[in-house]
Amino acid sequence: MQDVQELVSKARQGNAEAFASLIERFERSALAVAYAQLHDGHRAGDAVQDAFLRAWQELPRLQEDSRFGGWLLQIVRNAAIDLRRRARPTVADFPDVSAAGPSPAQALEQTDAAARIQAALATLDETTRTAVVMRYYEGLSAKEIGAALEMSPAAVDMRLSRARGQLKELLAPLVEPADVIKETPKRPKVLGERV
Amino acid sequence: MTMQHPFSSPPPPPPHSDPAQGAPDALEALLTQQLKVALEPQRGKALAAFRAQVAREAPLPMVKGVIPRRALWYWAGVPSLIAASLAVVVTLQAVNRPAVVPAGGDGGVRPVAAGMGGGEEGASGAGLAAAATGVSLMPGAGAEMLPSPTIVFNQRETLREVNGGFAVLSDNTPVQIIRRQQTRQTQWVDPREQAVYSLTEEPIENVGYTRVQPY
Repeated sequence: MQDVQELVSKARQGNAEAFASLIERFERSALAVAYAQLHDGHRAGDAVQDAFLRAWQELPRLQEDSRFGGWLLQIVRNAAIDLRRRARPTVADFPDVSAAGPSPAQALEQTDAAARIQAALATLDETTRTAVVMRYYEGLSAKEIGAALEMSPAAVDMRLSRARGQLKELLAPLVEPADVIKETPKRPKVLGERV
Repeated sequence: MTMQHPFSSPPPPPPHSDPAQGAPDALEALLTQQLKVALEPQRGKALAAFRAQVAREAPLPMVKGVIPRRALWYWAGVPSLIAASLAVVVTLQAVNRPAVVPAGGDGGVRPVAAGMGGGEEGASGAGLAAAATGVSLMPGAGAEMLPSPTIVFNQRETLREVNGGFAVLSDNTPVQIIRRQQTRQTQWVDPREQAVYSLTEEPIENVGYTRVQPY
């Protein structure tokens, strides 16, 4: 597998295949950043698509190849903000009940769960939300998320930890059975170590 | 120095792969599942759009080999030559049609009277065509078919309206009579006999009535 910097260097010289490899590598991160802005998978996909096309056009202006990741995610973020500004109701805004599950009842249940999770994520600040999506969608470590968001791993851990507590409270009905809602377990040990 | 991309993402490890954080709980599993449902279908879209963009930007494929200028002239000239040849053939055919002239021609301009029915424009058209196509103009006058070329060099059509006076129709409507007269004259040369022929069609007359407003 080629090194990212090498791919960036080739892409800057107009090598489309190198840029295609970069798209494959950074696509999940880009989707995570866009989703954190837009709270919608379809529109996140659109924003990422726009962002990669913009990045391909703007690539000659990139100062340092080693900063490609942060530069790209900033483009994705801007593309998502642009898309949010000109947001209009689209088909993507309505849940596709027919595709969500085998029966209408299950489909509605899943749609409801998705809406609750989106609402819960929306209560987080943008950076924390991005970190959460990167964590749970892409499976990145605190160090990797920190590198992407230009934060220390400890700061990422702290944000993730707080976010988990907040989300657990908000999503308790989905996580626990309705009659056995427990208190959110605290993790003083983990927090103590990381903060 | 090579950069190890810290968050590039081929197969994602499960959340909480960090050993310090332990096994994923129900909330994390729920988040992971929900985010995958929302975002995984979007994967590949950007790559497809990029490839389409690159294909659009790519220059058109060049045809292998170069067409020599001479060949270009040749292929451009052939249709023109064919068209010109056809035009010549068609013209010669039209010109070389055997013409019909009255027997006993002795040079000079020979008037030919066409059998045109007065008042019928169709008949006049047929008469004119007869001069060009060589159909017998005077079938009953001993006309003879000549293979020699015939060249039409003059053709004239005259139209005039003559005031025919006033009349009163049976319903006591006063009208003005207008006689519209049309004459055609065609002249051609027979090179074989070195004679010039002239065909004057009998005037075609249409009579029209125009209502006169009495004061």
